[in-house]
Amino acid sequence: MVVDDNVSNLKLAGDLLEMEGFDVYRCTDAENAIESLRRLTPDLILMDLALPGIDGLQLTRQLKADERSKHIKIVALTASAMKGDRERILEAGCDGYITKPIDTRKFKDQVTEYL
Amino acid sequence: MRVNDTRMINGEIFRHSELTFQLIVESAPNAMILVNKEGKISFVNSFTEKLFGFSRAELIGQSIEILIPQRYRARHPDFRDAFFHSPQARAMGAGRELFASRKDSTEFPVEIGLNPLVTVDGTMVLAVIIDITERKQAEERLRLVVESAPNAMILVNQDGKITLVNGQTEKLFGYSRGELIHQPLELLIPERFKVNHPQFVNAFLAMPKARAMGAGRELFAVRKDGLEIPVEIGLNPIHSQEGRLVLASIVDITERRVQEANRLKSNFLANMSHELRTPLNAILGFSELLIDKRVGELNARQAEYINDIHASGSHLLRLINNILDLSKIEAGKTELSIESFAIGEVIAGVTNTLIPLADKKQIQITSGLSEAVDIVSLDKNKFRQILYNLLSNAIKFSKPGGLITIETMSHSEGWFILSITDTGIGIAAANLRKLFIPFVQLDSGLAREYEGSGLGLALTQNIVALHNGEITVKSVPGEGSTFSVKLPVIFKKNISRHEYKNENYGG
Repeated sequence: MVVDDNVSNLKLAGDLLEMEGFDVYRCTDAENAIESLRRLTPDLILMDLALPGIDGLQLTRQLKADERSKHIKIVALTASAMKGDRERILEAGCDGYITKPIDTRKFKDQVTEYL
Repeated sequence: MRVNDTRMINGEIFRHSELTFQLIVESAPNAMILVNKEGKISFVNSFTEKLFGFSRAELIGQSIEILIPQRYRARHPDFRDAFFHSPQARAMGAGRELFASRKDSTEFPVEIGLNPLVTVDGTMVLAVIIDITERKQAEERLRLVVESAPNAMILVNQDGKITLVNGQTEKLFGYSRGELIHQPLELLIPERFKVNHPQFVNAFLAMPKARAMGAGRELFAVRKDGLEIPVEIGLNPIHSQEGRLVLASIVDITERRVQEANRLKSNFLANMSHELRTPLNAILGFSELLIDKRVGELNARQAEYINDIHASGSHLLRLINNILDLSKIEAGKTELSIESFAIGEVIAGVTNTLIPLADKKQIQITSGLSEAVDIVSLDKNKFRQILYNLLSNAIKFSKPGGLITIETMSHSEGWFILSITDTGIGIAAANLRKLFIPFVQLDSGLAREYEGSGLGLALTQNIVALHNGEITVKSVPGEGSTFSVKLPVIFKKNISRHEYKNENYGG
């Protein structure tokens, strides 16, 4: 599952993963993702952090606190490079993070690492 | 005061009347001494005994000079004669500081009032002596407090005139004390605010309480040299014998303003960089997919254009990353992560990544590394960045077929030099100092040919400065340049980085 409110970035990550042979569910915000997760159980969620409303880190905490979803791997997608972001991401319960802009040539390996 | 019916016989005063007056004199909390024309004491009240430590018997008939410090005694008879020459009630000393001497020769500051008394024995003088030791101490304490205050302190009377300033005021405004005392406070207010100032003063005096001046407005003061400075002013009403005074405490906030502006700028740049990277993700990502033919073949033109899009996008990303790095360093948000590493390995690694670029221009890269500079303790990634920036610049500005030399050597105890010499276009002496200014690229004509952000050297210098190091350039136009970086072998956080920054960005 890819969660990103920026439609171009959502399309890029989604299309790229499909090209690499993954089944992809696309969500544009946290509510959308929570709704979809009632029906779906993805192996991994690629989570943009700057989501409108409930942000990526809040959503991560929520999912990691829930028995039904805590086993789902969550990898943050972030364009932020500020000091302390890494700590905030891991502290929220993310299993890892990939920085944007993504490298389309390494993306598959980066994602597979968490599966 | 003139008392006409006083009688004075054998040293006894007010013998047959004015008992009340005698009681008053005896119980007065000040020393009262009656002295005749010849300077002999003919009466003292009981407070005089207490104040000076002499008994009444020891004083009566003695010369008044017995109560005056040794060093003033010689001149006193002249003053006394002058008083008797035109006797009228007045304060003694006319602005001079007066001191009295006790029986044990200790001195104390006094204020003395002189009153002529016409008696049957002729004109005498009644001296009323007030011990002002405590007042002087209080004044001295106040003076010390005001003087040692870290802020400029100005006392203004109800006519708006300056009556007291401290040393900080002189320092801040460039006026001497003498130039400020008795001047209207408006002297320190910029022209355009002078008109409104009296109305603010009146408003303050109508409701005087300690508060910050200006209520959210920006305040400015003007120095003697005409320079305006942003200030913060605290106002305190003071009630004194001189009437209602206002004590203004003034802080120069120029430095704070600069820091605040820098912080805002850095935060703005950091946020902007983040916002700018987001759309670049799609630009770079999709162009990569097309370049890699992940969605089918492109014709030659299409491939060329999409490569241009990708190259420009990459360039923009480098620019944004450099701005972010620079703003983080300027905001003091960069923390070095120090580790020990073999400098030769890092130099070889960076050189290898840049060899393809050098090869395109048939540029040869050689190195001469000192064995004495081996394991260093620095921020490895930042060191790599310094080397990468300098080496890629050397390649960029070298003519095809040129030669680049990387050298290391020991410097003074604990320091080493990394130098990179190219055989490039060189830099005119006049331009050397512009090199490290962000966004300044030398010669706009060249900028097209040698595309860059204009941030690389500014960033490099900042990284070097974070390590307390120095970067210098020597260059001969047409022949080439040498960039030398002096760095500590083992970095220790001892010297303040701000000292270094001020040196470099002061101008």
